[in-house]
Amino acid sequence: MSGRPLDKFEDDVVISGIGQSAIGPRLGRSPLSLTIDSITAAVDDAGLSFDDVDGLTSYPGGGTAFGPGFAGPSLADIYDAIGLEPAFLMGNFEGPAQLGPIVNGCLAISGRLARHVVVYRTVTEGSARMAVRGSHADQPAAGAPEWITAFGGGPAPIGYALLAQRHFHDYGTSRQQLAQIALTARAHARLNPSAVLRDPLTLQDYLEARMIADPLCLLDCDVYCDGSTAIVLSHVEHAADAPQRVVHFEAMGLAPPPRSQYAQHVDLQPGRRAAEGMWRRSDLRPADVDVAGLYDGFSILAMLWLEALGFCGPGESGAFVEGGTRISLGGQLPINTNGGQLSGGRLHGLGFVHEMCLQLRGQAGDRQVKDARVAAVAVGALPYVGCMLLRAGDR
Amino acid sequence: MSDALRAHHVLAFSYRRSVGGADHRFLSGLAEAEIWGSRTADGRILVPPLDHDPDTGARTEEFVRLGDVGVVRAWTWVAEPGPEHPADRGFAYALVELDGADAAMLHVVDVDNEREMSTGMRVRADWRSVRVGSILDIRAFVPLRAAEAVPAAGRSTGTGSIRRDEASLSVVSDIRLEYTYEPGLVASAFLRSIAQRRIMGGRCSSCGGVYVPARPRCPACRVGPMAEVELDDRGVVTSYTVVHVPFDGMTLELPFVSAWVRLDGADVSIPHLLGEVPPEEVRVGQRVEAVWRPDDELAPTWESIRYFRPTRVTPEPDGGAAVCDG
Repeated sequence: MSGRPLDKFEDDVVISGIGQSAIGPRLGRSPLSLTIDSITAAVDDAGLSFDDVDGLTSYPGGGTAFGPGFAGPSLADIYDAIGLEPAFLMGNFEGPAQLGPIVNGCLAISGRLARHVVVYRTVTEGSARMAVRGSHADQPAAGAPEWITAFGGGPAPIGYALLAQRHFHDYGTSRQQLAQIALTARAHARLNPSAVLRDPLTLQDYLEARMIADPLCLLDCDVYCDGSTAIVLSHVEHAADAPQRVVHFEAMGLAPPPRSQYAQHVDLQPGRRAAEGMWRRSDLRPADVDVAGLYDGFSILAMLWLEALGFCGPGESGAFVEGGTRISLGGQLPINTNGGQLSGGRLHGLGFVHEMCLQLRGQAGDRQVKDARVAAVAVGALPYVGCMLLRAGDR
Repeated sequence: MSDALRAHHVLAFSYRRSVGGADHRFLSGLAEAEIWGSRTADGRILVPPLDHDPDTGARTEEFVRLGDVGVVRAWTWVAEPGPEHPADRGFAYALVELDGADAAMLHVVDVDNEREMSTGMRVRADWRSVRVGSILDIRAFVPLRAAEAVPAAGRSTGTGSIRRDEASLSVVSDIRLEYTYEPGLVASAFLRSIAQRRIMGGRCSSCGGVYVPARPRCPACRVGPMAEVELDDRGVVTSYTVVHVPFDGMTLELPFVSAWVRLDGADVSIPHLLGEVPPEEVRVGQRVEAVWRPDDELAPTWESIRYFRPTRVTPEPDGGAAVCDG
């Protein structure tokens, strides 16, 4: 594919409403209850009623079991509880990470299968992880894990620590540079009343934090929380009726997962390919982006997304974030203005979309990026990733 | 090539969960040889009871006790029961609508053969003598003989009904999963070689890349089969991490060093442990060698190599390429 496609499905769809439940380290509430809160808020924000909703999508969807508190309620739980009768239903794990349900919802609307699709993502890992502390979380022992699990290579922090260590070795990246992802997230979280971690954080605190797997310390790992995020996707014909300024989809970026049987890439190879696809679908360039939500399940991933999306060159993310000014509010490219997942809480993907919508609507309060018109969202790591460009509506 | 390895695994545990509301009422009733339903706002009786009317979402009004007798509304015959079935001879699954109820419940009808089954037949619950609060406390429904006295269709309410806020009931389910794992022919050959202190990789006939463990075909080119190539048990560290916290299910002593090791002659790294080296002295580019288990402990598993340890050779400056496929 070369050149920008003339007729993009992205142009048919807007984000007409957003909503979030309470967010906290341990709310002690059911995933269903949190999700009903976020969906109710999002549908109300869109100026719609439940009767208008004819599509429902989520990640990872029912029937999936990963860690405790990861999956959230199934689609069936939701339409049953709310009394929805959605013609279009899709819950899926495999695909463009947590952006999968947004892509599916947009395609359904563009294909006239639905007019208003509710997308939700709910986690209760804060509560659930406490409940099972010390128990054994089973790893699937087929495919790549069969060669890794026996040596403690299974848990995610170890895999990404190996990747970070190699990045340090190849490019001279330092812990002081990596720290800027965590420190910036915390500085931003202090401006977000919903953020989970809001205490001040210094470089000294970071350097003295408990090491998990070198070079990743505790503050390089995102923080489990309870919370639900929902957005409403509507056909662009509805934009004029939406009470809030709508958010447009400028371009989506999808990518095939890596082909090797286990990842040994120092860069975020699928992310780079997704970003290339995304930029091909738009006339905008990295310099046009005013604010970004970059997946920071581990800090190193946000660094790799900066490179993958072309905000800096391969291996240059350490220098790019040096000192933190460039990625902070008021800087060239503020990232993770809600505190990201490192300090805002691991809302898992959709939290970034919610925050970027607030920015493009001019509703981000103390952490508002002035005149934010274009936002980038990138989620996922290995093997599944997705990214997209969002654009503010005209009013 | 010899056959694939097979490993048989059994995963079994008892799973305890609490039930509240209507489930509590129903299951604790079964333990007392009673069947309970719930009444909706418009007067329908649902068995088993639900806390909410599925049509309206409204709370159901009260719990209602029913009798043991009902009618078969639909059925299907299971001629050859398996271990997962609740009977060891042919039986029917049936939707049984108890007298007074407005919904049928799924259970088993125990008769000698399929010809004794008919839609509309009258049946009664046959209770087990030892009951634990399970749907199987009703052993089965059995045909109601013509001369048999029919207990009055109970609609007694109130007595024995639990309050909705009453403490929950705990039920235990035994979970058992048996499975046989076969790693496949290529991985089996690799694992057998490990048991002989040999590390076998595969060389792609198209790109020449050497992968270890051996794979059925080249991950980059998709060309296969790959030519067998024996690798040295020495190599270089391409990345590492010192792990300081115990992750779920991990039994290694802390801290330990998890590393990528690129064996000499290979193009990808393998994940393994480093030993006999202080964690702070580990470096990318370090030369390492395998430390094997004693001969009598060798088995077709990666764990036949206990770990890799530094060899006394000058480190390479950059550990070579970490990436082969792109």
